[in-house]
Amino acid sequence: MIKRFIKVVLHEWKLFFTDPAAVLLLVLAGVFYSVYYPLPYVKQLAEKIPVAIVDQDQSVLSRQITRMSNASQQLQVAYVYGDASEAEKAMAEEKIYGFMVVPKGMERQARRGESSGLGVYTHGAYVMLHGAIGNAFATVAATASANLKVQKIATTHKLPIKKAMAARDPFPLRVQNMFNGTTGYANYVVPSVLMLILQQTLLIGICTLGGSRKQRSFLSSEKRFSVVENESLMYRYFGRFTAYFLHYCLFLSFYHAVIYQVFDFPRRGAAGPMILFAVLFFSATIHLGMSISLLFKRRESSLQVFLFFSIPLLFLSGFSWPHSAMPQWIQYISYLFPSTFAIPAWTAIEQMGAGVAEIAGYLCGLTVQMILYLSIGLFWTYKRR
Amino acid sequence: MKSFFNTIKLLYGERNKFLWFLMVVLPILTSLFMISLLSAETPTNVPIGIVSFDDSVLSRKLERVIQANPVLDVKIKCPDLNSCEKEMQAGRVQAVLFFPPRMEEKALRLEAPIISVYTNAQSLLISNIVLKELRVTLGDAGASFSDYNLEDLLFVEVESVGNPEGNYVGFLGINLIVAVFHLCAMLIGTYLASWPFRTKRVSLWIQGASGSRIMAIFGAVAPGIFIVWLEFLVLYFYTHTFFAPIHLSQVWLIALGQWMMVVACFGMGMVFVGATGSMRVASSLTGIIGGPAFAFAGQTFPLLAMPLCVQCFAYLLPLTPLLQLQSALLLGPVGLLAAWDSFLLLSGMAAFWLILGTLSLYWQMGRQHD
Repeated sequence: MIKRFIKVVLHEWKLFFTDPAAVLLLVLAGVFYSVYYPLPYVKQLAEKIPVAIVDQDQSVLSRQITRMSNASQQLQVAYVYGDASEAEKAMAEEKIYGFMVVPKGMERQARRGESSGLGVYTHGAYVMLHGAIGNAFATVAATASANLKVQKIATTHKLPIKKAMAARDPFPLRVQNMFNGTTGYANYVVPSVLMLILQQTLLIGICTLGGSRKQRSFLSSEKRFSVVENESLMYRYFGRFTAYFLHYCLFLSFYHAVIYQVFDFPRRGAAGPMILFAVLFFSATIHLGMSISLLFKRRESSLQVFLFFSIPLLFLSGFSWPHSAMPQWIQYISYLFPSTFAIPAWTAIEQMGAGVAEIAGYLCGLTVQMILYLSIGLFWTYKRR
Repeated sequence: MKSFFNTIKLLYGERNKFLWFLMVVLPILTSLFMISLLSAETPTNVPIGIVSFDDSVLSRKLERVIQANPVLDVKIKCPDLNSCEKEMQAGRVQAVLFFPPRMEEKALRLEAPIISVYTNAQSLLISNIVLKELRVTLGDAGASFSDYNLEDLLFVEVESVGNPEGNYVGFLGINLIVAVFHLCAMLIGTYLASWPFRTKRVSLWIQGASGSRIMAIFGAVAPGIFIVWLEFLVLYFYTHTFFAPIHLSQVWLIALGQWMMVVACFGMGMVFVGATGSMRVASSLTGIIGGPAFAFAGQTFPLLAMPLCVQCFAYLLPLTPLLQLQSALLLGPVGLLAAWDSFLLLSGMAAFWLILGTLSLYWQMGRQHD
């Protein structure tokens, strides 16, 4: 019995390395994507973003603000202009991504205790740069303003500097990142994408290889009537399942041991939760693949269809856009895909060091999917035998 | 002209339902799905937790103030930080606020007790939104608490040029539609160019075009380019009206830019087919190049922060200059010159890929025809 089973597993596994389409999808794609995708984000943070200062005040304080801006980690003051239209032109040419306008008479007003507004203009199309530039300029202005304000409070109310500082900000905030301490963009995006790569390549690979079909039209007639192709349903179905499962466990180990190490992503995952996760995630995905593979008439059709789904699936997992902000009907659709539960579960395990208890909700979702798709896969395979 | 229409009939008129599904149904459905997904524009009720070691009027007041913020929702009060950390791992809270012991007492004595905010930067976007809201809410509460407080002597007004409402999710939605059609055009280009190879009808294809290989290629891809561009145009401007109004003066340049992008993508698809002669391998190449294109286009993570080799690769993708064209037009008349530069780049790309695609396909057709 075991011999028959192992025969099917080995036969299927051999196919991954001998069929050109399978080699591309089930072997090369998983390795290539895992190296190719993190490349844009290797620097993790956008630092020293080119900006300009439109200095209409030409005062000691305005020059101090320019120096402070240039000293900040995020900004590099590439130009100092006297006129805002020059800065607008530079921004349109993408020489700079934002600028601050220091209005005429700012220092005089501030010294007199009057408020003065500094305009910060960022490029409307770039969300990340807008946040970084806005925060950096706001911090510079707040620091310069705090110095003036503390001096004012101290002299007006005759308070020591320390008390004056507390009076300016009675309960200051200290921000700490519990996970992804460096706020790296690659740490944020890549682990989620890696799980999506595993799911998509697995689904497309299964569909391209004909999933659980009894006779695969792409095989030569000699192979088509081989003993393995004519095995009983259970041997054939679970034999193939095991081949895919073991193959993808190797991928997960490769990501954990090599990719995470090369790109320096946090590795906090314990063996227990990772094994349980792998069993449930890959089972749900393989059974889903087995179920839908019967829908595709041509081998490459699944690739063409699933490519469209990659972007929506990534968003459906809620890693960048919260589930609660999605319409209800989209939330229901998201429950059909293993990635919806797998992506948050994986990031919780590997990036945050979560145990089984913390990710139980996601694992339950994957278990339900596994049972559902196993039933559908077996039923369809039986019907089409 | 007869040979041109014969080719169209052969490729488009043989009830190839899958082609129409791929070319019309899937891109429209995907685009509408993305628009619906991001329709909320700003997240509300993001769950946060509080660990309070100070049972005072001030801590209760701060809690009420935070709860009143529509973006935040105090979901859990944990006895200690460890329990809240586990809640964060489980995805039940996105940030934790820690009120230190004797916070009110210290604040009244002007000893500035520090309130710690622990965020989950693993969800970077949500974490930034939460942090921004907490800063504003607690800053306002602090100002009303202090008797000594003065108005800020320098204050900053951050304005996003071309996006005054700061509707980044809307712009993300628009850019994602562009990314969907970038992939779609490449895929359909690959599909149409490789269909006769896949069905082993290369000779029939050439015969249908009265023996002219150029006419056969043109007849195969031209209607596809027009259909995909038309869908793209309609969906793009529909999305724009949904998220952010667009000036009529910008419409023409964007529409022409989109045409160039679709042509360039079709050309790339044709090159893949010309080089491989196989639908399967060419589709895989399309997937590898076009699938993650959005990550390389510089809209989510800036191009200037990417390594030089990645920046060079990004400029090989037609998606990058089209997104830059759109971005430049956001800045109004001042951006027109930069937008024109992007348009010229796109036109060059379209011509390059189309010529290369035609030549490679011409060669491959000859190879398989013989």
